[in-house]
Parts: sequence; C-alpha cells; structure tokens
Amino acid sequence: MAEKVIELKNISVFFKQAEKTVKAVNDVSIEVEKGDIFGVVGYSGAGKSTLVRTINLLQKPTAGEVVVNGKTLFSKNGNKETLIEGKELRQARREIGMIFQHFNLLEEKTVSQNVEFALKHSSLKEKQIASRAQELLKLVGLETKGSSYPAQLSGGQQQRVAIARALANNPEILISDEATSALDPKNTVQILDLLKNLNKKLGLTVVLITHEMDAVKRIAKKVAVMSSGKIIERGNLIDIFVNAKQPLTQELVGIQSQIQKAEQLLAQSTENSDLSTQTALHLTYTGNSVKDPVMTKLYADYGVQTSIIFGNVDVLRDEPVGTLFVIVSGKEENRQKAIEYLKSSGIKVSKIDLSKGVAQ
Amino acid sequence: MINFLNKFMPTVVQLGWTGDLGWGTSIVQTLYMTFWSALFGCILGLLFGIGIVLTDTGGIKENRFWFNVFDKIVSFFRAIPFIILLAFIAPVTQIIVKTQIGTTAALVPLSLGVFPFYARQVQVALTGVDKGKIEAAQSVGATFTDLIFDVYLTEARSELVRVTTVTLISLIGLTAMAGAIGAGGLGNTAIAYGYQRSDTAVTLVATFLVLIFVLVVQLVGDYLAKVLDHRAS
Ligand SMILES: Nc1ncnc2c1ncn2[C@@H]1O[C@H](COP(=O)(O)OP(=O)(O)O)[C@@H](O)[C@H]1O
Ligand SMILES: [Mg+2]
Repeated sequence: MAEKVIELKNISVFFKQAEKTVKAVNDVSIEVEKGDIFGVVGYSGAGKSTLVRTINLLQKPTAGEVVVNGKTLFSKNGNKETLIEGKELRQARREIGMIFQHFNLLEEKTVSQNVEFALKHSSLKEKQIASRAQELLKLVGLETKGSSYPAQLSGGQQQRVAIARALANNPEILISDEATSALDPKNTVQILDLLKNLNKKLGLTVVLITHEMDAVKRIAKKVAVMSSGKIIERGNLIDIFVNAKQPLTQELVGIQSQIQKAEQLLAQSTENSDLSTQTALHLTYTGNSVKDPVMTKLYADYGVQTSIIFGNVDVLRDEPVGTLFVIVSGKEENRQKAIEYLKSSGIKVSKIDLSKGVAQ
Repeated sequence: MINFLNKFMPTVVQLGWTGDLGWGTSIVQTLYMTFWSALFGCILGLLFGIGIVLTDTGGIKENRFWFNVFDKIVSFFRAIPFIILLAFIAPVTQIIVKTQIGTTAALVPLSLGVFPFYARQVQVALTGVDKGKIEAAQSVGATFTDLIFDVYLTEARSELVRVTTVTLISLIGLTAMAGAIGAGGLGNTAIAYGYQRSDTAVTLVATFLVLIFVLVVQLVGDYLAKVLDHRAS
C-alpha cells in the first residue's frame, strides 16, 4: 500500500449567493498516493477547480477534512473547525505546487525573477536562490530565457516557467488546473510529457484537472470523473476507459459516440440479412493481451465468419487499447462458443442488439 | 527676448522675476504646491486605494466594515467641489499648518482635494491586476507584503504611473484655484493680474507656462509608463 500524500475526506464547498446556495463540491472524498498521476475530469462547472483548490486552501471548504503529507490542514465536523493559518499555511502551500490555465506569471518580472519570487522566504542565500532558479529553468528546458519577460515567450514556454516556479520549493505534489487548456496541441503534448517526466524523475505526485480527455489518456494513472459537485466514477485509467459504467463517463471517453457510429453502420450492413444467424459484438482489448490470430481462429475452430464494421485504437499512457465492432455469422451454438473463446483470450465482449440497430 | 517682451508685452516684464508678484515666485509657488500636495495626496490616495481593493469582496483581506469606511470617506471628499473644500477645510488647515492663508496653507485642501481622485484611480489600476496572479503568488507561500509590493504594486506599476500623470495634471489645475486663499502661483497670476485687469498678455504668458508644466509631466509620465510596461499588449 503506497503512502497517501493527499486525503480529502467528505469535502463540501458551498457558495452562498443571494437566494440559492451553489453546491460546487458535495461530499467528495479522494485519496492520492505518492507518485500518482491522478486525473480529475468533467465538464466545465463540475466543481473540479473548487475541489482541488481545497488541497492548498486557496479555497476553504465548507466541511470535511484536508490532509496533505499526513498533516491536517483543515477539518470541520459540525462546529469544530481547525484551520492552519499564517506562517504555517504559507509553509504548507510551498509544499504543494500549482499551475494554472492562464499561467499566472508576474508580467513585470523576468522569468528568473518569477522563479526567485517563489524562493523569497526559503532558507537559501541570495546567490543560492539565483542558482536554484537557474537549475529549475534548466529542468524545464528554459535555461536561456532567464532574462526574458513572460510576454516575450510562447504559451508553452510560459507554462514551463510556471512549472519551474511551482517546483521551486521542492514540493512533492503538483496540482495542474487545466494547465494545457490554453495551449495548442503541440505545446499541450510537450507540457504533458514534461509532467509525466517529472513524475518519473522526481517522483512528483501530480493532480491533473482537465476537461480534455486526451490529456488524461496521455499521462494519468488514475482517473476520477466529476459531475455536479460529485465524483461519479473512479478507477485506473484503463478501467475507466474500458469499463465505463456511467453514461457521462462513456460520453467523455468517447465510447458513446463510437457505439452510435457503429450502430449506424451495423444497421446499414445488416439491413437485408438474416438476423438470426448474426451477432454484433463490441470487442475491447488492451495492450498486448491478444496474441492469437483471433479472427482466423474463429473461422477455423468455430466455423463462424467475422466481418469488421468499425475499429479504433487508442493509446492510454503508452498502452494501446483497441475497439472493434464486428458481426459474426454462423450457427447459434458456434457463435456462442466463439464468444466464450474471445472472452477467454482476454478480450472484453459485449453484444449489441441488432434489432434495435435496425429499428433506428 | 527681453527687448521683444518689452516692446510687445510691457506688463509681463513689469511683474518682474523675483518679488511677491514676480514670475519666478509664481513658478516656484506652483511647483511647490504641486509637489507637496501630490506627495501627501498621492500617499493618502494610494493607501485608500489599496485599502479599498484589499477589503472589497473577493479581496485578500475582505472586510465589509473597513471597505465601507474607506469607500465612504473617498466618496465624501470626492463629492465636495474644490473651491468649497478650500473654505470648508480652513479650520483644519489652521490646526495643521497654523495659518489659513498662503502657499503652505493651500497644501492641506490641495492634498485633500486630490486624494479621493487618486484613490479611485489607484483602485481601478489595482483591480486590473489579474486575480490569478494573486492566487499563483499565494500558492508559493507569498506573504501579505509580498502580495502588496511584488504583485499588486509591481504588476500595476505602469497603470499607476499613468494615473499619477493624470492626477498631477489635474492637480496643476487645482493649484490655480488656490490663489483664492492667497497661495499665489501661476494660476493666480493669470486670474488676478491677467484676467481681472484685462491684461491678455499676462494671462497668455501664465497660461503658456502652465501648459509647459503639463506637457513636461505628460511626456515624462508617458515615457515612464512605457518603459515600465512589460505586459503583453
Ligand atoms: N467563488 C465562487 N462563488 C460562487 N460560485 C462559484 C465560485 N467558484 C465556483 N463557483 C461555482 O461552482 C461551480 C464549480 O465551479 P468550478 O470548480 O470552477 O468548476 P470546474 O473547474 O469543474 O469548471 C460552478 O457552478 C461555479 O459557478
Ligand atoms: Mg476549472
């Protein structure tokens, strides 16, 4: 059991407005383990930012408990409230790095000064601060940009400066709140890879908030799906993609749209054929789990024919995940055996109701 | 030059350079009033402007009570026309500088006249600093003074220079009215010796000198605002 670095217990954040109360976060608990890349996904307004901002108390929760690195930063049960403040709070915050969608660099300070600003209250001497800043800039690949101003840099470069600043005090945790949402695809990939690299190299625990599924797919190890202030589904990245149960999760991971597309195609290709000899299947397989020449075997060993209607391969954190929509035709019992065989060879199989497809 | 003035504007030359009514005296008086009341007024305005922004809803020291105190005081002084403030504030002036008339006495109403104007502009300038910058600074453990000096004042510095320029220019305008309580200055020369004696030449020269002041302030202000600005346009 790995060490828990972030524990949010029954966190609620309510915003009282003129008439109604907005329940931005409603009784959410998450645990993040050391070295994790923990993705929190959901549409805009789901409460993701509000939730993670409680980790460094940029947002004070209405109720619940925030424990970071074993230290309770906030807890409120009934009327009993503990909240760290002043110096203690500032020290705790230095141990939690954070980066933002719009970088939030100080524009009247140079790149170096931005990083040095984070070290202002460290125990380092002036000279050491300068060399530490330089070291951090090197870490993010900007060692030559120290004397530039943020406005002279590209978005991707600015985010790198923000990362250097966030890591200045050697935090074990980095919170990334939509850090790639304002970047073009190329810079997005570069920043994500940098985060992944830092995770690997420094053992940095990353909390990755995003509404872009691609970001999560690329680097997250675990995923929580958030909607209306609640976490509706959570699990390992591949699990969430392959076994999404909630409709919203299925929609986010793109299974919904794939199934719809497949259903249309299936309906077309089975229009005038005998449904009683056909079964439509949705096959999902991960990584290199499938070694056998499956389709050939289906025909050779079970006498069923397979036609591929639609297929897709995703890469989740370097691991390929394939999706196939196929029609198998043959005798009823043979089809049954074929399905058993597919399942036994590590493929996730679900049937698609063809009559429904045709009806549409 | 002197010959030219002697020939076409004899009254201008008659006022002389030194002496109570001299041009040199008026120029110094205007500079003196502008400088000191700008100093006091701007410090006061800056404090109130910062106070309002910090205590406002969502500010880093959100506090309804103090916000109202700062805001109401600024609104109150902002509402009083300057020429009325001159008279209205006389007893206070008496206490602070021990006299109600003269150039030094004018500093009190001038400072009080300019501070609410400046406070509002500082408020606007500081409100323009992105909340995200504050949060990012907080997330690396910035202290209260870091937030004020390194974030608010530094990030808004170019804007602050701009509003200071505007404030100085309007302050030069106010000093002209201070003549009403015997503060002298170029404005007084233009009104008391130029306008009231129908001496167009004196009015013109006084106005011209004020314009030069304004121009210098504007040019220096624009230049500083530009070199201090590294933000994305
Ligand atoms: N300071 C606030 N005051 C009032 N409502 C807020 C505040 N911050 C967030 N909210 C509301 O809380 C909900 C969640 O917001 P947010 O956490 O920013 O969502 P996300 O990051 O998932 O897009 C939204 O409905 C938003 O309008
Ligand atoms: Mg958000």
